[in-house]
Amino acid sequence: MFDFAGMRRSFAGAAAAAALLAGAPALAKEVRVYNWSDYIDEEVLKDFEKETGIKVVYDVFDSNELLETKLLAGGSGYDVVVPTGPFLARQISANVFQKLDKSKLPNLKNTWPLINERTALYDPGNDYSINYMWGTTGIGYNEAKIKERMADAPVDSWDLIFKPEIVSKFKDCGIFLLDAADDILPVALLYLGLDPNSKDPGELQKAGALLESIRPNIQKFHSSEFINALANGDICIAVGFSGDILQARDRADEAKNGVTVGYKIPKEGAQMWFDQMAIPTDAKNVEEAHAFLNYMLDPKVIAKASNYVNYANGNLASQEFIKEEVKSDTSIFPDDATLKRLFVKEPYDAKTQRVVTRIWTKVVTGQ
Amino acid sequence: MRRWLLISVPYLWLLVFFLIPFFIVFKISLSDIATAIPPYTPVFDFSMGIGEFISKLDFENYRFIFNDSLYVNSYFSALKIAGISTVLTLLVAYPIAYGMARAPKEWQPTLVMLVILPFWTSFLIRVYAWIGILKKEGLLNLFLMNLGVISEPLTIMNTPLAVYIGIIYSYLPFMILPLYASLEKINPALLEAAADLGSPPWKSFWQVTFPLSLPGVLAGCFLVFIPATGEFVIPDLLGGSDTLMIGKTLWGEFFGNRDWPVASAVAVVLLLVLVIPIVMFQSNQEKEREAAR
Amino acid sequence: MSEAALSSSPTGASRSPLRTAAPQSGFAPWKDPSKTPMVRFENVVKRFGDFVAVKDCTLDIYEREFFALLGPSGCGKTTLLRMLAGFEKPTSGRILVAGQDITELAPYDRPVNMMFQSYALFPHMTVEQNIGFGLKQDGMPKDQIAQRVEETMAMLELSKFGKRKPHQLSGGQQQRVALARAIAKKPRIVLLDEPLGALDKRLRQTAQFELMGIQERTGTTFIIVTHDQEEAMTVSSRIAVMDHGEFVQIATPGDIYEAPNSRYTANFIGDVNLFEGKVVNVAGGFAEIDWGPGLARFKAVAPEGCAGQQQVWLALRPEKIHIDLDKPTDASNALPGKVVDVGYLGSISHYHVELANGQRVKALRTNSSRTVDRPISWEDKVWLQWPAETGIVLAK
Repeated sequence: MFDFAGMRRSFAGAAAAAALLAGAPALAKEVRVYNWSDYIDEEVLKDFEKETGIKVVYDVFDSNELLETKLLAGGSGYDVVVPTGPFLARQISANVFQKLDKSKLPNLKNTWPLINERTALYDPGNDYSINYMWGTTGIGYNEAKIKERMADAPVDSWDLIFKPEIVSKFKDCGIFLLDAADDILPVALLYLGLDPNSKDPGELQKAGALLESIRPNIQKFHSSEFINALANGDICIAVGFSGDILQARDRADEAKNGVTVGYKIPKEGAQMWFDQMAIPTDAKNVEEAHAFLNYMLDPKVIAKASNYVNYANGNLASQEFIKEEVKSDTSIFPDDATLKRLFVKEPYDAKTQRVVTRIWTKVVTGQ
Repeated sequence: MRRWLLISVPYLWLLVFFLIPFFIVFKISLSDIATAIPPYTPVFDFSMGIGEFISKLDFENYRFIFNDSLYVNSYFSALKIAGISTVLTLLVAYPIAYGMARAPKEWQPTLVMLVILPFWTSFLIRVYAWIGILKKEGLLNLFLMNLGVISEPLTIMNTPLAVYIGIIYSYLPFMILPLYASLEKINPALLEAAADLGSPPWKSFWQVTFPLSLPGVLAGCFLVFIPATGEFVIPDLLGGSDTLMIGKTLWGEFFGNRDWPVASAVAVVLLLVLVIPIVMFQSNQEKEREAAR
Repeated sequence: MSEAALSSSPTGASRSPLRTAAPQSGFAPWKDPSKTPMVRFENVVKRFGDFVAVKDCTLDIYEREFFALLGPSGCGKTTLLRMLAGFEKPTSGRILVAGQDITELAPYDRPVNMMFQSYALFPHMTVEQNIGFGLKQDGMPKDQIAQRVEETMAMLELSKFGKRKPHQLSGGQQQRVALARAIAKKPRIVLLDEPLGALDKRLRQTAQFELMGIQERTGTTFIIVTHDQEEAMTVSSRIAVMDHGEFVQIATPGDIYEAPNSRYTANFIGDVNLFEGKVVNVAGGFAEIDWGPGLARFKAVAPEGCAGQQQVWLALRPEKIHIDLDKPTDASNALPGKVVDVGYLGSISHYHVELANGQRVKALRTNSSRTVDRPISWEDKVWLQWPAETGIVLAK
């Protein structure tokens, strides 16, 4: 239900990682990495092994909740994991992670201050984590089908979702929302002119009421199905993560099925999310974990990763090594004006979390 | 000695893989949520005495789930969906099992094999395949529209109907196999005897075949109803967001709210909801058998 | 009639079969051409694929008869019965009940009820429900059903078990429930498929008499299928001996025993000694049979159409042979031999006598006197003799 990023980076990752492990020679030192599926260029890992002599054991997951459950149960056995911002914050307060030894991370100098500033909301002082990739939560749409129903549809505005007379035009062709209160409620608050990070139950209720009013137009709340549905042309609109929607776009292009998928960051603003690399408290290979993080902070290395996965990273120095087509894509690297309108969602405390979840359940199920 | 060892095996299994985990879950359900590893505070540990233990029992999480209609509605909705699915599965499975039991003996192993065949593919993939069939521009709509049966595509995907289809399809073998086993055991001479005594075939079915297949009907219904009640994957993939089921609620409690204690309480109540009627049914059956002696 | 069967007899042939031959004295409707048969099989053929189970059978069975279909397994007797019940359809031919063609009638529309070899009791119903099942199908009012069930149970001494389920009954009780269920509807014909096959020998004998009693009391036509010749002899008014889908002989038990029409029947019913030979002379109703060079010729009643040089078999029941130490003076048939085996069974003794040509002959002797001068024993040279009227000349 809270499949935060869903099948964010398709299915190939696990198989690739397995193939990588099988081919690797037995090395004394190792680092165990747990990352999102299909979220890395395998060559980066090979290069790391070649350069440092440290063997990488690479496993993948596809939901924050799965990662969190493993971490909270204790003894996950991983040395580097990659949770998303609010999850990271909660996990830090549960003492899941150890402080980074910054003396072992000389490449920290390459980071992007703007991103550091925003991730500090989850990890004050960035003491526990470094940014791996970041993205936005915006609107994905089927260009032809939208035009067919409304020639001047405001695809760059939350009006498309929250204005009943507009959203109802697309009801018949299918609208998907992420099944995640953390992603949708803040946007509803924003649309109402309220603080997207509001913890006021009354304001949260209002956002819930707004969502309930458009509920009949929504076909499904789901956090990963929309990728296929958009790519196959089954639906018109999906509110989802930038990378997922871009992935749907690429799949449709590859399939040459006549479907053109667009992605827009609405002009009112949108949520910015961050996948952060951190070292669990009970990690066994702390030294190697730091070596891995430092390697990932290398501008050329992280640029290689960004070029592969079509996501922006938090490494300013890497930008000169990023391919032009990626760097100039404003849905990946928003321009400065857009960047200013992006907000970062703070983690909820347990009490607010329950209120939010309850409101969300009411929105989704009508109960 | 060896006999005792043999008898103890199922009990040991039950103890290690059911009772002990159950008590762990039960214990968590009595604790409080915390931001820690693990994310709950133990309200007691095993070192305290029985008196202290009982005085510290805290059923707050249970009170919580019974005070919010969401949970109660989730249970009822899950039981309703599972119940309807079970009846529909029975209706689909019975003719199939009947046909199998009546088929020539040498075909029957092949037919049983065919029923099990879907298990060779991952459950998840099979449920995913239904998305391709049921969606707006899916195979079913294309087929019906090409035939001219409908002019507008039917909306089946993301509705309760899709959930029923998914459950019936997925659990059909669990219904067919016990039905087949009980139907196949029926002495064909019984139907001849019924016919001989003046009962036409359709009456014989209700007077002889169906009552004698009841053990298979019950076994099949339990095998479908119990897992269907806690089903998560099928409503998640095929159902609409408003398809309320306890499996999804439990998932949200555990993963979304990270509230292991409440999630455990939901799980314990679910277990009681399912186990108590079954145990009552079993003991009733036992009594009937005793009374018949 | 009962003492004949109750006396423990070593073989079926030892007791007098004549005593059970006709349950009702003078009951012989098959001899009355004006009577309409209750059941008529008319040129009935049944094939299962290439296998011919029943070959062109024609048979009349009359009201109140207790008719037995007797033969080894696979002879077609059960198929014949199942065709009458309606479970199998004849490949060709007709079946009539009381003059009405029922060949096309469904089993549930036939005035016939069957008692199954496996009893086929409904395991989920009580004894009462089992017995009342057929009445319920006819839509009989509940109180009448209850009354009829009660009567039927009383007749079969089942009243105590009405509320039990079949699995709570003994084999004998189950057998009686199966019978009760078959007669509860008071059908015109009751079919019994190996009804006593599952019972042990002692119980079987009691049950045989019970069957006969019920049949007589209800006046119903009973048709029984059995492979047990003793059972057929005991219960039936007439027997049809079957082999390979054909009737070999249809006659009363007495006739079948005393006048078998073939080696098959003679062998199948009771013990028999068979001598192969050739008719050399027919004179004054007697035939002279040559059965080997250097052996005394047999003299026996010549069957109709018996002619010289015909190959025949002389059938001789063991109890018809008189065994003696001395050579008889005026016997029509006498053979010397040597005793090779003796079986003492109290009332009677068995003797196996080896003839000069090596053939062995069975003979019986009743032990009527306690003070026999010298009992016949192993290795004794003996003489076998029998009157010409007791041997039967068989042409096939």
